[in-house]
Amino acid sequence: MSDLGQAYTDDIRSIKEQSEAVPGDGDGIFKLFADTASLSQYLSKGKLRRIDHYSRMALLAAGKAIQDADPCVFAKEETGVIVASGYGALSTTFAFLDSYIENGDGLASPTHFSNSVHNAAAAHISIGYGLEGPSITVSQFDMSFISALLSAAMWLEQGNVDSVLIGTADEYCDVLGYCIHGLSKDKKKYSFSEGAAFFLVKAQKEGRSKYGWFEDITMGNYEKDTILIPEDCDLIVGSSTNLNIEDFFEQSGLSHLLSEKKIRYRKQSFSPTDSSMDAAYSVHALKKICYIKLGQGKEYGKIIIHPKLI
Amino acid sequence: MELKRKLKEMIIEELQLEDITSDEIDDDAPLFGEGLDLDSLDAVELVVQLQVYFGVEIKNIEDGRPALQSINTLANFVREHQKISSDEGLS
Repeated sequence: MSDLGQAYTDDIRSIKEQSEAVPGDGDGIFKLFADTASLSQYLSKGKLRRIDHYSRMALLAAGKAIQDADPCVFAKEETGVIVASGYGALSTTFAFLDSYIENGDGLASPTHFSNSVHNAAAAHISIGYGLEGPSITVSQFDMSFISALLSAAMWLEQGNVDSVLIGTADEYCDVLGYCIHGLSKDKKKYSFSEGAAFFLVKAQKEGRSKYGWFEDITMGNYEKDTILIPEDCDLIVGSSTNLNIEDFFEQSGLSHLLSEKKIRYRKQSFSPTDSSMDAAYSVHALKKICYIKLGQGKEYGKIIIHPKLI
Repeated sequence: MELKRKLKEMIIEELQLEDITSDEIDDDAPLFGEGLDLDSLDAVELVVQLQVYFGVEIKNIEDGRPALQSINTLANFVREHQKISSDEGLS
């Protein structure tokens, strides 16, 4: 397993499992929740007051990435922050809306509002860890992380920063569970999850890489584009729930890869982390990885990763 | 006493203060800066929650600054303005 795969495996041990019913359906639906108790190792309790679960997940993952980084190649004053999120701070957004509905617009909660914006997590990361580079949030639903990677690559290419702390966070909330499962016509059985994953990336010409490097980051429309997949890659494909992967391969002229069993893919249960976790999942491969993420709007993202082996 | 207890519980709950109970909040301790070390966002939240919990409104800074000094000043403000509202209802 690569260093990156081992680090990812170590991190997921902190996930706690819970099984409970999703509103709107009596059946038990498996849900995975992230445990952020260890965040107190990185930031004091006083600093964490008012920070919601979405931002705490991002802070914890970012803190781990910073702690893991080689201090010789990581300067806080030259580090930018990019957070990718498909749905942002869902629980806080709905809490804000609840306060608005219950108490009227004049008495909606200012604290909930300030945390409900998608870029709250990026702001907390920059402030909490003293990172002085630019700080943005990218939200493009299931394409969020790849889109964020493109931004990071551009920043590094332009020399805006020396390094980028890039990652994703998405949380589960019952309203989302109800919308996806409770309102679905066929009552598919979903598993819901949440989480965050962060990486510290630098320009390739810097020469040193602890875990590996990205060779290519591309986005496009898979109905219009020809997706080029190198022969020497492990191919991993992730997709949003309603997309049929076999159709994708058929349209892309890649059915032979399926029949020849040359690829690994998984049909996902719905997860807000559709936009993020696939990237972390892909590191279990042992060699050069071509990871393709398919979006519900016919868009695709492609990343080619070279993991560094132990 | 009951009003002060409710104010303290409201502050702990709505401002998400951890590791502190209502018994540990001194009635005369400053709410901002020292004491509870609340900040400007807490002040805005407090103004909203005072109206939600007690139906009293801090309309301007001239009213707000003296009222938000401590639990005692806050309790006095709430009592005074609840009385005013009650009197206006009767007249």
